[in-house]
Amino acid sequence: MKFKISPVLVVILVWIGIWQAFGAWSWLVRDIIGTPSSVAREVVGVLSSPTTWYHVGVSALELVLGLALALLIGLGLSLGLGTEELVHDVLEPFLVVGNTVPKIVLLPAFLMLFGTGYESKVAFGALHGMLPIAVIVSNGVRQVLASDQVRAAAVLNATRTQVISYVLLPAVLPYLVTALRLAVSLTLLGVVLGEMYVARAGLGYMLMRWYVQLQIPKMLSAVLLIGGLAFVFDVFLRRLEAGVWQKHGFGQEK
Amino acid sequence: METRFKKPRRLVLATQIVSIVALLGLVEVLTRSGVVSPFALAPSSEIIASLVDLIRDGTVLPPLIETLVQVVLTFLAVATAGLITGFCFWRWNLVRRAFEPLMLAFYAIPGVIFYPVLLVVLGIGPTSVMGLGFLLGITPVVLGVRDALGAVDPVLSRTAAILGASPLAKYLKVVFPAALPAVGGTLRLGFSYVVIGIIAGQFLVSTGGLGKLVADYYDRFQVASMYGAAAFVILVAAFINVFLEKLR
Repeated sequence: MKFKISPVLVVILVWIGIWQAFGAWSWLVRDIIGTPSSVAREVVGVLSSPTTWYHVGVSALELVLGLALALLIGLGLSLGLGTEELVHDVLEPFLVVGNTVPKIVLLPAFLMLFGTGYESKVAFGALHGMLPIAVIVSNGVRQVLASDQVRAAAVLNATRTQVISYVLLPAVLPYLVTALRLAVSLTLLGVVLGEMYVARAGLGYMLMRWYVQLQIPKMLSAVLLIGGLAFVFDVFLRRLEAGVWQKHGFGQEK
Repeated sequence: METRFKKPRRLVLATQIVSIVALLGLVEVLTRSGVVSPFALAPSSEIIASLVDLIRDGTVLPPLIETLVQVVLTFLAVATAGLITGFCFWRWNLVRRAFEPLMLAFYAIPGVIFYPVLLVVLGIGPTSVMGLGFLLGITPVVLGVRDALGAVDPVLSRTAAILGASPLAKYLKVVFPAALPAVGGTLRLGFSYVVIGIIAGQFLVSTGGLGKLVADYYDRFQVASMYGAAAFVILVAAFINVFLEKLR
């Protein structure tokens, strides 16, 4: 065989084939859930509707604001965590445990404190996004501060500002990009969760509205849209991450 | 380069306690003085009182048991399916190339968007809640098991083969035991994802368990009870996680 067939493509095509075949056989799939061909038609319709892009815009704005807030808090925390031993020892257990508990039960608190508009989604997204930033970047700062690079700079009579701008920042950059990739996907999770529960706009709201109205093919195209956007972000940030680690991550374990 | 505790443990613990007390005090002052509306936040004393009430009058027990049963069942399914799939990924390159890109893609997107799909296919109830827990838990376990098996020194399995071990004996008695510590860590991570998925499912579409308990208090605007119930869920989840980490 001349062409190399991608196994993933085969899996996807077989799956779509089975789904389509089910549509011919079961009225439930054909009329309620939809077949791949009817969902594909809905995807085209959903993508060409201006309402969709309004919701995409709302979610994008919430994501950007949430990410900015997460960066602000996360970097602030990581500076303290990375340089002060006491701050690190005191806060670290909370950050580690915070990553593994169901933060969704705090969503009502966010709705009560910040209202049901975009503010609560921004804050809830930031809550999810700040944890990986604080943990990963502070870990990076600690590793760099303990490394020979800082000592070498000190031997060369570098001032504190010089150490920070010429040694610490470039060396921490790879950690920051890794943290950013995780923070984007987690902030998006927080934003979409918030929109799915109580909201008037956004991708999560769009998804849940179509579920409640039992417009399943439309709902499935919303799933594809959100998943597709998240996937594209991730691929882009992974590329960026690989590049930055190659350029700046000299001799450090990821 | 792990830095061990340089500061004495007692100082750390004291600072933690003082910070928590200060935070609770701040909430108390902000709410009592009316700076924060009583519909947004309850005084710490009322939250703690409602937390104690929830536990003492047994309100929390039936939802806790319901959630725990769902978590345990789902986790068993995740562990079984994850170990088998992870093994297949590691053993057969074709399987890995066929399914791993899909799993990696799935890892990057918010899994909760599949919850409405599960609700349509499985109906509203424990099945779709457990389905969401399974969906969130399975990816890290499969990828972690594959990594754990991949990290086992191939010398071990070659030695076993030379000494005449059957393929089955080789995997069960040599490769799996060698990968066990890493697999344990992976399963623990999978467990916390299962907990997150189950509570999220119960919360988003009030189907029962601890998620519904919190959502119900929010719907009825019982502010102090809502915060008390949320604190209970977080404390239980944190306790289980710390316990499992110690166990490992």
